[in-house]
Amino acid sequence: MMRILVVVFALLTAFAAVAQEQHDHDHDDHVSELAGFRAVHAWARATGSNSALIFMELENGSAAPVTISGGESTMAASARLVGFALKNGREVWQDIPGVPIKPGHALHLEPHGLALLLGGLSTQLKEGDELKARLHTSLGDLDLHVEIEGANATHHSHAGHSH
Amino acid sequence: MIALWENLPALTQDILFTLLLLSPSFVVGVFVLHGYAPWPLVRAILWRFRGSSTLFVLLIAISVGMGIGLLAQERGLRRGTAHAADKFDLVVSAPGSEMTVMMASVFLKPSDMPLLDGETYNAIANHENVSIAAPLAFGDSYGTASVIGTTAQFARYLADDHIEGRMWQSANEALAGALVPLAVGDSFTPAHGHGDSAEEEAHEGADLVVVGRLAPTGTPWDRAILVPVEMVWTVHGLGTGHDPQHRDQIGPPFDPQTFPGTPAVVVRSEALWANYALRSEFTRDRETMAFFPGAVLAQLYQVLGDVRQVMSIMAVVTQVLVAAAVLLGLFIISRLFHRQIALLRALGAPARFVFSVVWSFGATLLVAGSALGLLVGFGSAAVLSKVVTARTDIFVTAPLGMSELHLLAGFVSITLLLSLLPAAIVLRQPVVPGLRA
Repeated sequence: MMRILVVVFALLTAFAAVAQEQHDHDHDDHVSELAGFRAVHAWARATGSNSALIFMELENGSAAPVTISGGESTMAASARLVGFALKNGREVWQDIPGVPIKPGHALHLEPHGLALLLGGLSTQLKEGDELKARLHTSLGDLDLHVEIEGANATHHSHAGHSH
Repeated sequence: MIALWENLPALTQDILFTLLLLSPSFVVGVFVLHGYAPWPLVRAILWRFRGSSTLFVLLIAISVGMGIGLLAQERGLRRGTAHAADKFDLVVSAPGSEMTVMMASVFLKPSDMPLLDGETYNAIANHENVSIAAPLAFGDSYGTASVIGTTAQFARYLADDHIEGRMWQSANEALAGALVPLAVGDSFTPAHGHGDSAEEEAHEGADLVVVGRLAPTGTPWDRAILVPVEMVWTVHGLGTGHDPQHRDQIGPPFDPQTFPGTPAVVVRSEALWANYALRSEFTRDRETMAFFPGAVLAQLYQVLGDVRQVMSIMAVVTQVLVAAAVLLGLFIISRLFHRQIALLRALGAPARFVFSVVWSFGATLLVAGSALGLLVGFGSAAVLSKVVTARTDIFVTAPLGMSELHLLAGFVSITLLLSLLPAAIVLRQPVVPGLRA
């Protein structure tokens, strides 16, 4: 009986360790940080077209204002910071040169708001894939792990989880 | 290939798509008419059966026109509602339904909403990136016009500073929207509430004088009367929003302690990027909700977009059914002149020539009906726009666009292909009984 309990305990401990490792891995994937400036839950929609929008939550935990101004990706020809607008009943994305974020403040890049627009994508984005990109900030470039969600997604699949 | 297509300008894509849709009819036309000149005979048949032919053309034109008109109207309504929201970059309210707040602030269809307090209003108004923070106060009316309390700064912004007369200078002065049946100098007493349930005597003694008229905006605000927000608060017994030392002050700043509350604040920033930052900043759990009315409309359009696709398919199916009925009619008409057809064949006319005559006859009716349908569509869209504008106060124009041309091109191609059938059936009829008919 004692032997069985020991085996069960050992299995549970091993499972918990694997789960923790998995969680840490997920955490790493969902958060990018540069000198206190964080990008959380970067995501984009699956698409077969040559452009895609990247959304994320930005938190400035540094002591100075940080300005974001665009980005880059090896899988796209361009990555521009854009803002949603409705012109004549049509959705348009207008270029935004830069947005400053004050210390202790957050900025959400989200559907029908701000976004990083990838142009000239070299490959289709499929749900479940990950895209590497960089966000240009006044602190330097911030690496992004962009999760590809469904074609009609409205938020990151882990939105609401705290990191 | 997809990348090449997506890199083409939108107009080029539209033109190429139209040509692609028309290409089957071009191919069929070239194939059927190659080597023959059936037009003199077709003209004679059209003249001989001008009554029936005219009727068929009108039938097709009305069918095509109504489909095109409805689709153009949907786009016009989308543009009109988007234009109505142009002046409302960002709206901040208490957490709740964005749609409800948008309907109240942009389209003046208010319902019960929680209020933002003075501290919150001041946090918005005093933000370094905010150039306009206009509180709105609803609840009163005069006739069919809503009486809206706000600030002079927002009234000027709404009308692009085009005001006939002058801006209000005291709490009992008002600005009339462009379509309000009040002239500068007229006096009125607002009623509490709207419509049949409005209480006419509720604000007795609160007489207001119209001192200015706002330029037309093409939005529901054209039928509104704008007054200082202090007036709305005062007649409802809520104070003026200013401390006792400034009780006669009109407009901001307001005293956070005596601020009665506002259901929505219209926010504008001079810097483009700041609107997005303000949206993030004033989206706070259980405190405030900040949204772009344009974004809410865009989500609504996405639903409407699906409806539009269904409408487009229904319009095409309806028109194809009408075309099928017309083709059946063509077959019946061809029975009327099948003696002449039989005579042609007896005289040695090639079967393909006879085929081209019958097909060209049908094609002429279909193309003429479609072309006339374009005009009917233009007219019906214009009439519908006037009706919608009159009923909603949203200025709607519905010029025909490329999507309507695509619909028409698809219709023409399908029906020209279908009209091969009556021509083929006529050829299968025996010659000798035809001559005896």
